[in-house]
Amino acid sequence: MHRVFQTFIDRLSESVDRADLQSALADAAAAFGLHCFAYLSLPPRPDDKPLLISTYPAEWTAHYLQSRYERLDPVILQAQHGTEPFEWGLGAETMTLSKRQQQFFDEAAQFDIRSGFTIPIHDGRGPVAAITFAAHERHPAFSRGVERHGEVLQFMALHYHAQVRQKLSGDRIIAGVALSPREFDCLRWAALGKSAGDTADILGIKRRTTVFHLENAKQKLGVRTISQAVARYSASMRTTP
Amino acid sequence: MMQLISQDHYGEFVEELADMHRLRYRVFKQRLDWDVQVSGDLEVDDFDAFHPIYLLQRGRDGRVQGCVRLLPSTGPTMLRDAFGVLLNGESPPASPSIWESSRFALDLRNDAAGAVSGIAKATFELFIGMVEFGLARGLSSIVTVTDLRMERILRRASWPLKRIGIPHAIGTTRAIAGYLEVSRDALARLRREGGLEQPVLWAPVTMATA
Repeated sequence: MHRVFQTFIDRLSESVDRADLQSALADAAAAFGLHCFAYLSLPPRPDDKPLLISTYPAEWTAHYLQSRYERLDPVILQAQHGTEPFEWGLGAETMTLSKRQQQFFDEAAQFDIRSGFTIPIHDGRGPVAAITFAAHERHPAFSRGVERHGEVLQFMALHYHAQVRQKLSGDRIIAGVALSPREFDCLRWAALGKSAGDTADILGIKRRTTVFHLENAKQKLGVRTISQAVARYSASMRTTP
Repeated sequence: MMQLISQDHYGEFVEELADMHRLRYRVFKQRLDWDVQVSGDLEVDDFDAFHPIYLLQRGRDGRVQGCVRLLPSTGPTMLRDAFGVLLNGESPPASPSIWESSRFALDLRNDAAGAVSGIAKATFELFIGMVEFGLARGLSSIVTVTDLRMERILRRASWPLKRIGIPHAIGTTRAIAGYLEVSRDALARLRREGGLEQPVLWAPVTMATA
């Protein structure tokens, strides 16, 4: 269990994009006997789309997002009402479902999603995200996994949410271009004369990861060299209040 | 007893870290009602994603009753990214010899033992642990965002905060940023004031075997 958590933390640290973030949690969950997960981050404005990172069947998640099911899904609604993790679905406490909600669960069941364990995340203003580990049915291995590892899963869920926020949002704007926090950090150190290797040491990441972030920054800024990117960075720092 | 936990050892000490996040929930959510991210009885925020070093303070019953989080000022810090207003126009510190402390919490319940000038021994242990950490890393100071109440405690403990700027109201508290001295003198003063003559900080020296 300790090794699973350590590996999870280390992989999150090295993640650069959605795919990395998805596989980091997928592998950790699998090690606990949980084979399907969905991370849903609720948008700040109700009309915006939520962020979904998941190993549920792609056809289901596409349908879910298109139908705006996060507004109807009883699991998401329950996650919005409280911060305590809970189990749901076959064999768990039954929720009172509207007809539309029962229909929704039937649709999910067609994709073999029938029960799960959900961890809500709230901040001072209210619900912000939820992570669900789902299963075909409430079979013993799933319940055992949840019972034995429920606490660590909660902990992992919160760490995961913090990492996703860092890696997939929180952009910094330079010259009208949005750089990710890591791209921005790497460029900042390049502007201070640090090599990619030095920057990697300073930030506690691999050298090739630093190079990757700098390449992305250059591409986004529409320049060919690091010096040109640094020039854009410095110019934007001077004019920012 | 103070325990140091760095990223390489998070796995080995996952239960202790979970206890720490529960402590933080009790202090920052339940007691102070700050705007923090929670799930169940745990508090975790964006800066935990940067793999800080954590110092945990254990009571005589082995419980995690105190903690502080440490991040290098060369990367993202609360002062740089969340509380820039407290810098009063100055640039945030960004030096290998300065680290930032945050999420300093103590929940002593029944163990406010050995209080000196109204400050519990456990509080001194946490301060001393921070200075020992700083000396081991060759730091010159620790920067922190704190509130006026903690600033008074630091002064009484003889580890005064050297202010950056002036206090600002942030949420329900009056916050102030400043530097804490890391030096043998500071260590000696804290040890004398707190009546703690032995080193307090322990850290694993080997990686766990696979």
